[in-house]
Amino acid sequence: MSEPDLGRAFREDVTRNAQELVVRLSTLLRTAYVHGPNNDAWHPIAQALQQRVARLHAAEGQVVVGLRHGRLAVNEHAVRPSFSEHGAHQSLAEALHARGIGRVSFLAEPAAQELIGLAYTLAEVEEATADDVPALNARLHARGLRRVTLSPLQADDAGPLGGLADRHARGLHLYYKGQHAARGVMEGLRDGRSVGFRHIKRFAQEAVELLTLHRGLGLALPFLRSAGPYLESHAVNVALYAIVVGERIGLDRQRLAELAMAAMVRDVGKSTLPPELLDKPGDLTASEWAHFKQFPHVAVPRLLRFRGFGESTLRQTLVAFEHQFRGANDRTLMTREFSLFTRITQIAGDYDAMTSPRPYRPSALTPSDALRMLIRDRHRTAADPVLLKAFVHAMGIYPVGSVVVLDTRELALVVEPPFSDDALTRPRVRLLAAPDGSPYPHSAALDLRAVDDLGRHPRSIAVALDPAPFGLNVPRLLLLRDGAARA
Amino acid sequence: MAENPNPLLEQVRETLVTFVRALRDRRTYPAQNPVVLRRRAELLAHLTALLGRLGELPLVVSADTLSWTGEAVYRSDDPRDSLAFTLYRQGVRELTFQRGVTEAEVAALVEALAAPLAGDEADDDLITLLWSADLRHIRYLAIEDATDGAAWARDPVNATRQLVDALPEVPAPASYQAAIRSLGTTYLAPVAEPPGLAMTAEDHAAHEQLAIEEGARDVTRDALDVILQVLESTTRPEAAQELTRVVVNIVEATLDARAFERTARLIAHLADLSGRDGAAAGALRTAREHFSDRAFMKRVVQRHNDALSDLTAHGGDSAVASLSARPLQEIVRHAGRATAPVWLELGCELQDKRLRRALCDAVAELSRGEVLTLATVSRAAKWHVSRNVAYVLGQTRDPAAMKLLRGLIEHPHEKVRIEALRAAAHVAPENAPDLVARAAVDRDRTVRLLALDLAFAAPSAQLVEALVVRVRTAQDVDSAERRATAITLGRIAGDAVTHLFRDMVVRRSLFGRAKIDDARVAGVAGLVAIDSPQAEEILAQVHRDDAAFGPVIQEARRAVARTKEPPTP
Repeated sequence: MSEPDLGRAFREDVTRNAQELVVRLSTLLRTAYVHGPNNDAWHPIAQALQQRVARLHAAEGQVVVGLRHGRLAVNEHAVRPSFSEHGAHQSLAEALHARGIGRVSFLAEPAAQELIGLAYTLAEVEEATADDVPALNARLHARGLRRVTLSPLQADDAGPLGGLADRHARGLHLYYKGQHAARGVMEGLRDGRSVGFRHIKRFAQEAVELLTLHRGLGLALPFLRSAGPYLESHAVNVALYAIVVGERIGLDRQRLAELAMAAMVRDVGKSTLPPELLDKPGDLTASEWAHFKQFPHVAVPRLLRFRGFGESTLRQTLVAFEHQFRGANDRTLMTREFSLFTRITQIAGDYDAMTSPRPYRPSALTPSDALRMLIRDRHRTAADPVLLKAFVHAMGIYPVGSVVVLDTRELALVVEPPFSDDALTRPRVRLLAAPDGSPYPHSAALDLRAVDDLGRHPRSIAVALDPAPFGLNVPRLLLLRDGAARA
Repeated sequence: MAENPNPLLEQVRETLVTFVRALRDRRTYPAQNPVVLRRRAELLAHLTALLGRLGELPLVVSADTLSWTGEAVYRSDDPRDSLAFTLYRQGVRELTFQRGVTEAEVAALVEALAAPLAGDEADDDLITLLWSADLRHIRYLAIEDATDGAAWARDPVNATRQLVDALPEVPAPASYQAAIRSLGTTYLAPVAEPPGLAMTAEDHAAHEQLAIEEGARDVTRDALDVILQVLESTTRPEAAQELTRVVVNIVEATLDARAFERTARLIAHLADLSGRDGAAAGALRTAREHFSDRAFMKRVVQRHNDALSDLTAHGGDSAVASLSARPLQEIVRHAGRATAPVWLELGCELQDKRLRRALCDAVAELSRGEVLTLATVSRAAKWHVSRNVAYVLGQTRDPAAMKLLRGLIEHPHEKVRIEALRAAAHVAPENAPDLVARAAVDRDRTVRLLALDLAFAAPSAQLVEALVVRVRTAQDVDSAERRATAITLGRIAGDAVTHLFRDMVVRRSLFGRAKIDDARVAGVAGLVAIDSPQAEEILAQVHRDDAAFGPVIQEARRAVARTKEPPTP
C-alpha cells in the first residue's frame, strides 16, 4: 500500500471510530435512564465504548467528544451521522447542550465502571448551564472518575440554534418569527400585494434544524398558539408537526423545509374569508358553506400571482388547493392521489385543529384524545394509514404537553416523545406533583422506559387528564423553565 | 522604512484573491471545466493551509469589504464583481471557514455564490443554497430583517411569560391536588402498549416508497390540473385571464428550466383538455394560442440551443446526443398546422443537425395533406429555409408537393436544388421527368449527378436530348461525370444513341491512331450501358483494332454494373 493510501486508510479508520464512539456514548447515556447500575445490559455497551476510546487514543493520543458550532466532533473530526445514526447523534448533542457541556475529554483509557459512572452522573442532572460544569466535574471526581473531565459549553460551540442558555429562547423566538412570517404572507396575499416568502423560508429552515436537534422543545412550541390569531398559529403548528412526520418517514432536510413552507401557506385561501364566517360559533348555512369551500380556489391564483413557478411553489399550491377535500366523498372530485405533502399536512392540520380552541368548540381536545380521535376517524377523514402511523410514532401515544397521572399517582407532564418505537406509552415526562399534590419544584425529566434492577418499570402512565378543568396552565409548565416552580 | 507586513494577514488576503478568482472562473465556465476545477483545488489548498494555522477564519462582511480581526482583507468598489457585495446583498454578515473544510464544501460554496439568483423571493436565494448544502465547516450568519423591532424578537422569554400569565390558571398545589384527587382512590394500572401500532419492516419500506413515489410525481402537471379545476369554477373573466397567464407561465418556466419533456407533456395535456367542453375551454384555447405564437416557438429553439451549448461544453458530441429530439417534435406537433412555416424558419437556427432534422420531420407530419401552406416560406430569402422546405416536402410524400418542388429546382442555391431533387425522388420521380431533365443540365455538378441517379425512374425525351448535348459538347464536365452521363444515356436511350457513342469511340486523329481520351472512355461506357448486340459488336471491333481498349472496356463494364446496384439509402 502506498503512503497516501495508508494515510487515507488511517483517516478512514479514525473517522469510523469517531462515528462509532459517538453512537456508543449516546447509547450509554440513554441506558442510564433505563437500567440500574448493576444491570447486565451495561457491560456490552460500556465495553464497546471503551474499545472505541482505546483505538482513538492509540491513533491520536487523545479523545475529546464535543460540540463544535452545534455539531458533534471527536478530536478534530466533525462527525457526520448516517441516517440510521441520526437519532443517536441528536440525543447526544441534546444531552450535552442541555447540561451546558461543550466537551467530554477522556484523558486516558477509562475503565468500564468509569463510563457507567459518567452516564449516571449526567442522568442525574437534567438541565444545567455552562456555569454548572465545574460542579459536575466535582461529582465525577466524587464518584472516583479521574480519567473523564467535562468542559463548559462555549458560546461558539452552540451552533445556529444556540446552546442551552438560549436554546429555549431561540425556540420561542422561532415560533414568534413563524407567526410573523405567516401573518405577512396571509395579509399580503389577501390584499393582493406582492409578498416576500423569505421569512417563511427562513422559518422553515430553522424549524427543521430545531426539530431534528430538540424535538421536545419543537413539539412544545405549538402551545404558544394564543400568541396570535388562529390561522397564523395554525400555520406554524402544522409546519412543526409536519416536519416531525416528514423526518420520521425519511425526507431529507431540503424536502422537510419545503414541506414546512407548504404547511405555512396551505391556509392562505382561508385568510380571505370574513372573520364572521371563519369564526362562526354555530353550524354554517348551505350558502356559507358554499362560500367557505371556495377558499382553495382563491388561494391558487393568489399563490401563483407574484411568484416564480419552481417546483417548490407548485407543491405549495397543490397543498393549498388539495387540503379542502376531506373525506371519501370529496376525494372523488380528484382524479389522482393527493400529494405527499397534502397527506402529511392533513394529519398535522387535523391534529392541531383538534387541540386548538375554536369558537364552535371552545374547549380543545387534549393531545392524547386528539390522537385517539385521529386514529378512530381515519376512514372518515381518509387519512393515509402509513403517515398516520408515522405521526403516532413521532408524537407518542401521549404527545408532548399531555398531562398524565402515573401509576404511582404522581402528576406529570410529557416533555418529549418516546425514544423508541416499541415504547409508545413511555415518553419522557417531568414530574409535577407527588401523590398528595405537593409540587416537585425542580423535577428532572424522566424517561419512562427506565427499569429498576428487577427489570420493572418504576413509573408508567396510568391515565391522561384534561388540564383545563383543574386550571393547569400547560403552556407555562411546558414553555417556561421556571414554569413548574411558579405554578 | 516600510513596515513588515503581517504574514498571516497576507495569507488571508491571498486566500481571498484565490476565492474571488475561483468565483469569477465559475461564472465564466461550466462547473466541470478544468479551469474551474483547478481554481477550486487552489482555493481548497489555500484554505487548508490557512486553517491549519488558524483553526478558523471568521470574515465580517460589509457592502464592499471583508474583514478579519478588524483588518480589511478584501475590498472591491465594483458591486458587479465584488465577493463582499455578493454576500452582503443576500444578507450574509459573517462567513466563517473552519478547519476540516472539504472539497465538496468549497465546491458547494462557489456554486452557491456563482448561481444567478433571481430577485423573486420564491426562488432559491444564497442562504437557501448554503443551507441546502448543509456545510459542516463553513458557517454563515445572516441578518434577520423586519423583525428586530418586535418585543418578542428582543426578549422571547418575557413575551412568552406575558402570554402565559394571561391564561386562566389555578395555582399549584390546588390545581395539582384537584387533578390527582379527580381520579379517586382506585388502583391506577399502567396503560398497555396499544396493539397494532408497532413499526414493522413493511412500514419502513412503505416510508421509503412514499419518498420515491413523491420524487417521481410530476408536480407541474398536477399543479396544472389544479389550476384547470380552479379555472373551471371561475366565473370572473379577469380571474380566468389571470389563471391562463399562470398556466402559460408554468409552461414557460419548464422551458426556461430546459425541462423539454415536461414542456411537451404539459402542452399535450393542455391540447387534450382544450378540446373538451367546459367553462375553462375558452381560457385554455387562449393558453394554447400562446404556444402557437412565434415568440414562444423562438424560445423553444433558443432553449434547445442553450442546452446544446451547455452539453457541448460539458461533454462534447456524446453529451449532445443525450438531448432527446422527441419533446421538440411533440411541441411542434401540438403547435398546430398553421405554425409549420414559422417552425421551418426558426428551425434553421437550431445548431444541431439531428434536432433540425427531427423538427423538419415533425413539420412534415404536420403539413401532410396541406403542403401548399408552405408556398410562401418556400420562397424565403434565406436559402437554408428553402432547403428545409424542400426536405419537408419530400418527407410528406404528398404528390401536391411537386408543384412547390418545381419552383425550388430553380432556386439560385445549389443545396436547395439538390434537396428539391431528392424530395422529388421521395414524392414521385415518375411524375417529375421535366424536373430531372432540368436538373441534368444544372450548372452544379452535384445536382447533375443526382439527376443522373433519378433519370432511370423518370426518363424522357427531353432528358435524352439534354444528356446527348452534355456527352458530346459540354465543356464543364470532367471525365467521371462524362462517363456517368454516357452510362445513364446508354441505359435510358438504348440503341437510339449507339451511333453517337460509336462516333465518339472510332474517330481518329489526323495522325492515325487516336489516344484514349475522356470522350472515347465515355463512348465505350455508353456502348457497354446500351447492352445490345449492335453495341457489343462495335466494342469487339474497337478492341480488335486496338488492344489498349481492353482495360477501358473492362472498367466500363464494372462501372455499368455499379449503376445497376440498388441505390445507397
